[in-house]
Amino acid sequence: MALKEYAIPEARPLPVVLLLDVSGSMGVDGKIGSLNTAVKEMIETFKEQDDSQAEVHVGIITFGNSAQIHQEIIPVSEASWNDMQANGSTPMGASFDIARELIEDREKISGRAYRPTMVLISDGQPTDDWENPLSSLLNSERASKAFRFAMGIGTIDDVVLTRFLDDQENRVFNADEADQIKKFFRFVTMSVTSRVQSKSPDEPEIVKPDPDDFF
Amino acid sequence: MDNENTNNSIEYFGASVRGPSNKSKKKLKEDAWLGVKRSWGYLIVTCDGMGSKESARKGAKEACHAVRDAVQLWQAYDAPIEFLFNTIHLFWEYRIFPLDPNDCATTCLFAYLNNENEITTAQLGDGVCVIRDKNGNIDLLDGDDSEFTNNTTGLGIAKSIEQWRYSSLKTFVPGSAVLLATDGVSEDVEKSRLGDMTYDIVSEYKGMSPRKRWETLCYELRNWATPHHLDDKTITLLWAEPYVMENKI
Repeated sequence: MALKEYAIPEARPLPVVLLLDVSGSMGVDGKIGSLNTAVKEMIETFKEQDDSQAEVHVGIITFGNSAQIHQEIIPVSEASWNDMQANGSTPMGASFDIARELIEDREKISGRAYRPTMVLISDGQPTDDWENPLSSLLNSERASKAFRFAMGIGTIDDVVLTRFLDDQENRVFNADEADQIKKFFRFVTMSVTSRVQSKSPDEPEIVKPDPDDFF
Repeated sequence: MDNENTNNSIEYFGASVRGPSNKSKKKLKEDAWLGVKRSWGYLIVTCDGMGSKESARKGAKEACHAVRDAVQLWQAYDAPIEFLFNTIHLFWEYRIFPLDPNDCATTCLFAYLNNENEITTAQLGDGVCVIRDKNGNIDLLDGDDSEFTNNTTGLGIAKSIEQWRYSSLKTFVPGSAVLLATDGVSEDVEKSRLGDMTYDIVSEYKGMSPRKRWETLCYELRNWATPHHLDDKTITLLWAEPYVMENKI
């Protein structure tokens, strides 16, 4: 049979890119601990999906003191978890640049991937220039097509997070206590798993989980 | 006859199957293909109606016929290829009227071989056109890989004919082949292997009867090896006999 040996024997990827605030203030009131637990649970849940139509790939960008890649984007089956530490300022703008470079990189996220999901969590205002990097991210060819979620922790001003969502259907979620970080991640996890279980992962009519069920 | 087809050793065939996504939604296949032999040459067309559009199936089927009619008109004149693309858009909108073109959006790929053994391939939207010449050289047209899967342009979406891509080979001699495939196939095959895939399919299928070719290709497309594949899948091929084996690279 001529064709069998040519079809790529891997499911199409569904990328999930997390932009996580690990600045010093996240070390207060157990927030960083909740964030570590929530992300770890999300990865474990993705690993347990055995009826997926796509393979979830997870990449994690952190911003605290400096913005950096905490975990390269890899198939979730290969992901292992290293706890993040809270430290320093909030260079969110630099994290937008890293996210844009990652999503535009055809070697890391191929053209056969489904539309990515981007998740942003922060408990404070950016301490660097964020407007230009965010505009570049939202106007870039591929990142502009990503599904986006955002959570503000504490009494954060929602301006940046609202701009990040860029009129997408989702609202900015707010957490008054650390436990709500986990609930937010369960909601994001459910949203992603509903896509990977769907026969049309990129179509808008996918039944979405109701955020009120999680908060 | 001055305009008689003189390509007596040309063969073509194709097959199209419904993907698991449309099957689960109890929708009909939204890919379409057409192959014709006329006095003015040979033509194969492959179209992928966009799944999120309500009349995608009709859009794809009518696009195949619009290309046939447009090529027939175009080949009779010494007109630039832009004339052909404009005519395809015009004929397609005429055929789907009164439906909204956006509701019928479809990709469109075709290969036209004229009586001077010159082949023209063209593509609007994703999928792939592969020309493999008798020496194993590959000329590839493909979709915009800056996008993600299932995000593409097409008839009903493109605002100008500048989004068409095209290529030609002036010596479509024995041993040459062209393959058209919708994205259900092309996105699950490494680009670097498309030339070999073209060669292998022609080599394996050329000895079969037309019915056996169709049945076998349908079977292979239904049993696609990529896990959790979802899309409709279509492949069409056209080649010049004798298809010589020793040039595989």
